[in-house]
Amino acid sequence: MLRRVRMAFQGLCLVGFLLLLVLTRYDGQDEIAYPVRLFLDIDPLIMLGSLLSSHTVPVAFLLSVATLLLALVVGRAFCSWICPLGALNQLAGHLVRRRAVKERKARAHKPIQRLKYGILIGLLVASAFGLQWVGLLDPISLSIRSIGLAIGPAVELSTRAVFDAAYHTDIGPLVALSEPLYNLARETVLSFEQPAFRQAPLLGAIFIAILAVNLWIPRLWCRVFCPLGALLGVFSRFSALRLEHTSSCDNCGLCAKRCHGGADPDKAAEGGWHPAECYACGNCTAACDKGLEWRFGVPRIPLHDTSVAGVDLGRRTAIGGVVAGAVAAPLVKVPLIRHLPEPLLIRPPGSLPEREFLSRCVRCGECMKACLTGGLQPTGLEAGLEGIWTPVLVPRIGYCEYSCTLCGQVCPTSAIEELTVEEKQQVTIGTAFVDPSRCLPLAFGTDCIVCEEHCPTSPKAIQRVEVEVPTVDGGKRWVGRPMVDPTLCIGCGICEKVCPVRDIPAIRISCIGEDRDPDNPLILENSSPYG
Amino acid sequence: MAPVIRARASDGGQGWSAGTGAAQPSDGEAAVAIVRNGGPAAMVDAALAALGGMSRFVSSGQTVLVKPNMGWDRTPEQAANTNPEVMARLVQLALEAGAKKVTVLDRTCNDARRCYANSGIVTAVEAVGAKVVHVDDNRVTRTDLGGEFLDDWDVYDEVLKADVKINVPIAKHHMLSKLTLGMKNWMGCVGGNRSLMHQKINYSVVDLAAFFKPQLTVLDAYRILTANGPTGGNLNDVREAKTLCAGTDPVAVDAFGASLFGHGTDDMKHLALAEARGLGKRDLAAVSVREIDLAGA
Repeated sequence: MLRRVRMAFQGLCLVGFLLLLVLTRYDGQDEIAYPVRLFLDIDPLIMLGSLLSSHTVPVAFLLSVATLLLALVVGRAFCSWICPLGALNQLAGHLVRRRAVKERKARAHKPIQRLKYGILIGLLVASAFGLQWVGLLDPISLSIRSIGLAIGPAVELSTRAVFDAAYHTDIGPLVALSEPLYNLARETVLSFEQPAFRQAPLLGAIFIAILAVNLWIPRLWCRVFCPLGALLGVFSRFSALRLEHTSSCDNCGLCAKRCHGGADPDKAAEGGWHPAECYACGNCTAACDKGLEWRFGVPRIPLHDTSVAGVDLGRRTAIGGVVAGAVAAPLVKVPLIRHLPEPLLIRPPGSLPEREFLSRCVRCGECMKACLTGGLQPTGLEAGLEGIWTPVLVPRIGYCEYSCTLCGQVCPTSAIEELTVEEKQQVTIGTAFVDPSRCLPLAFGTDCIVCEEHCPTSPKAIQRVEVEVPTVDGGKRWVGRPMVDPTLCIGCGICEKVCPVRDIPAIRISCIGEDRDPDNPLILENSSPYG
Repeated sequence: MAPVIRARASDGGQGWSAGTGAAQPSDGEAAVAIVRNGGPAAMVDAALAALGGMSRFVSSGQTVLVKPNMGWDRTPEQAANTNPEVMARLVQLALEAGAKKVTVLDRTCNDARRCYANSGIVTAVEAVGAKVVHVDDNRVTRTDLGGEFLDDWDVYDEVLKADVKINVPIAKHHMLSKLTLGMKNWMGCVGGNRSLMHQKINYSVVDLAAFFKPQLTVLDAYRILTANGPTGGNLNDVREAKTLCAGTDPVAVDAFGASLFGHGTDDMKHLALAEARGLGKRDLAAVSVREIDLAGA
């Protein structure tokens, strides 16, 4: 019974997660109407990491306290009831059938499962030192990033290829069938335009690898690596819901053969049972309705219960985690000490100053998924190793839409602050520079001025100025050239996007003049850049 | 009155743009109607009545493209996009004239979803039965535009499929071409790197107009954008001109549009080029014009 309910709920959560991810987009209104970052909001690991690294907790994260409280009642149920990565790992594990002996072995507790506690400690210690890497391994953040930026776009590419191929056959009845389907898909599950993210192959490969290892050991990621699972495991040791052996138990081992988490419920007699690894999936009680039963009771104190192992955290693992976190943080941060602004590191509007931004961004990729133009891309090493997979605007791929505020709306940690449309239109994220050696009017005496045409500010930050330029035959010609007013330019990058010189555009944005960083000013409008 | 011209059905191929597209005026039917001082929809009604009714352009069972300028993420009050009420009324009239399907689309400059929504056009035209389409760069046909400057470009199939094309631009300021009016509006029907067209903007505009050859051009000048165009954004740059100019002669309609901004017919280079190409007449005195004032009507 519990198993059936769990399976239904788990499926519902997975579908809900994917649905919210699909809905992380513009939907005809300035504000996204759905709670698209719900799964991040209930994630206590993200909350804890943010608290340690930035000493702030956005209000929405109060929901994640409920998740911790839930762990006090039902243990690590989150892992097999709610977590989308848990569900996907579970599904992937079903792709192989093992013989009974092998199955029992694959599902048995492994000493390496304690590694995740070390990972958790390492990440939290690093966070305390200001290195916010929790999101790299947090299962919710990892799933959104991987599916939103890599797996989803790959699925879309294939889907669109099929519809495009059908359309181009020009076979009337086929097109009459496929085009309405395509339009329906476009209006529902597909993105408005095919998404394309630069780090997709890497992000996708990591995700596929995580799913693939389930073929070897089911839920390997959850059992060995997942830092959120570890955090919930710590809390679950007090869990009120617990599995208990009855007097009818004949140690047949059926319960352990189906166990999701490698908790070894059959080893109760020899003290090898690990309730902190139990996801309350209900498989054991579905397999055996006599020897085991679920009970609510006073929280267990493992120290005094010899049949039950406490949290599987050895002293070495703990020290290893602390040392790893404490060493990694300064090591990763060293290159940034004398760091000058990275010219092409154009952060989305509303982004905090770089230090604070990095201490908050959990690299979930929500902003990139939501970005109207697809211009927000995950960084490689542009922001240092510390800032890997944080959002950067690449105007050549997509500019920042003047009246759009989606990225700030979906950011779970306020690394990108939520702005009103009016506020957003005032925020400068960089400045446009005309490259006279490539600009058509200036370099070749050719008319153009497309940049000025598209400039969204009023008055325009790009003005057309008549100048006389030399022509190649020794003559002269009057042309209209673009001139940027740096006090009006907000760095949105639409000029760079539409510049007809496509490889290296003749007008390009760099981050100088960005409002968020007083140490990266261009024009001194007040007497101090800090004014 | 009997319809004077039937739009030719699309043969979907290269020959589609050849031949005579623009309707010639017959007795009692003006080539150009200029309506002033009415609401957007009322001015459409008056203009179409003066031109001989929508049935002169649209016959039963035809597919009609009503092509606005909705290229910018702006509201109707900002006058960067065609007036939604003008669009809705034209769609209604086309459907009443028996159109099988009325399509509304544009290749936008800002994000298409935002432009479609915030221009107010989608809500307005869907309410009266138009099919709003988002252009798709994989649903194009590479087409020889046969122009003096432009040859092979990708044209959206939805545009090529239309039997009748009604061009519905808004009159507004533009730094390179001085104004953007009817002929330039066809930029929204081609794919590819159209920024290249600005190198010879006047030739490009005329080539596009010669290829697309609308049966009817309806220039919306209910609100006009007098500066900082084509994007606009500042209401101080918007003037309520309460004018609408419709006609079968796209050159004459654009020439009238220019006059709204104080430009003479020689100020706009594309008008002379278009006239030389035989697309119409830029001298309004040379075409039959009906002027209608709805003030107090």
